[in-house]
Amino acid sequence: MIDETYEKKRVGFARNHARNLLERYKQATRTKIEYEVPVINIAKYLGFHVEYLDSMADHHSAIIYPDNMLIGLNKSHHEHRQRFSLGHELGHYLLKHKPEFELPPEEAEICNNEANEFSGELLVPLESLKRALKHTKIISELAHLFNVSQEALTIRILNQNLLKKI
Amino acid sequence: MEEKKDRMDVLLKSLIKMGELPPEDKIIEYLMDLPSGREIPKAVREKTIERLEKRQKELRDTKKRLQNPAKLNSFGEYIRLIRIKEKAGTSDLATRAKIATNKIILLENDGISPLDFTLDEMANLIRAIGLTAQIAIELIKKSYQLFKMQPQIAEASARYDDKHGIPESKIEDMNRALKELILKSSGRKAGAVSDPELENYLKNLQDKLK
Repeated sequence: MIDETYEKKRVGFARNHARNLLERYKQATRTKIEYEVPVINIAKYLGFHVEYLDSMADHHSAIIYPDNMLIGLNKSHHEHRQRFSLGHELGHYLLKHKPEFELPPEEAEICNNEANEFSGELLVPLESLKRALKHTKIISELAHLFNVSQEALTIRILNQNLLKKI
Repeated sequence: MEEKKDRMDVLLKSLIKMGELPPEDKIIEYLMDLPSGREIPKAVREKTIERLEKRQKELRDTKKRLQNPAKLNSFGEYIRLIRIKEKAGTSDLATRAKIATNKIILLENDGISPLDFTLDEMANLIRAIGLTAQIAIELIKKSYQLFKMQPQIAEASARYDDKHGIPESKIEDMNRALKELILKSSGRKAGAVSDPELENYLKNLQDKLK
C-alpha cells in the first residue's frame, strides 16, 4: 500500500519538473508559447530523435531508448495520443525512472502516474490553462487550443481542481 | 461451464472462418488427439481455449502485418510471418527453397547476413515465399542493416528479457518496436545505407530474378 502523502509529493515533483523544462526550453530557444506546446521540438531540444513506428502493437504507445536518445511513437495512433505519449516518455527520462520492465508492478504504476502528470502539465500548463479558461469554458475549444484530446484536457481540469471555473 | 463452452465455440467458428481448422466434427480430435466420443476434461478444455486464443491473436496480427510487407523490419520477419500464415515449419520452407534449415532460422532472427546466401539460394527463397523482387530487395537491405547492428539490438533488448513475468507476446512486441526504432534511426546517419558489397549483391540478385 503506497502512502497517500508520498504519492502527492511525487505528483508535485513531476509537475515541477515539467514546468522547469518548459521554462528552460522557452528561454533557450526564445520561443513564445501561447497555448499549444511544441512537444516534439522540446524532445529535440533535449537531444532526442523521434521516430514514428509501424510495427508497434496497438496497445503500445511509445518506446524510449535513452542510451541512444531515441523515442519511438506508434504511427497508427492519433496525433493527440502521440503528443501525450511523447510527453509521458520525456517524463520517465527526466524523472530518472528505471525501465518499466525492471520495476515491480506497484512501483511501475507510480512511475507511470508521475509520467502522466508530467505529460499533462507539459502539454497543458496550469498557468496557460487558467488563462484559456478566461476566454472559453467549452472543453472541445480548450482541447483544440492546446492540441490535446478532450479526455486529457478534462483530466487536467479535474486534477487541478479547476472544475469550479467551468 | 456453459459460458466457457460458448466461448470455445465462438473461437472455433472464428478460426474455421479464417481457414484454420478442419470441419467442426473433427475439431476436438484434431486439437487434442482425443479418441472420439470421450468427454473433454475441464483442464484440457481450458488449455484449448488458451491455445485457440493465442493462435487467433497470432493470426490476426500476422495477417495485419503482412498487408504491407514493405513496412516490416526485415526479410527474416516476412519469412516468419508467411510461415505462420501457411502453418509451415522452417524445414518445409528449407526443402522448398533448397536451403539448409538452420540458415532459415538464423535469417528469421537477423543472426545471419543475407549476403551469406548464394544468389541462387536467395532467388529460390524469394520465389518460394512469392515475394516481388522490389519488396524483397527492400527487406533484404533492412535485414543486412539489422544483422550489422545485432550487438546494439541485443543490448537494448536485454532489458525486456524475463522480467517480473511480463508475457512473452508483450516482450516480443517491444523488441519488434525497438528493432524498428534502431533501424530507422540508423538510416538517417550519413553513409549508413551505402555499402558497395550489398549494392553489388542486390544488383546481381535483381538480374537473377528477372
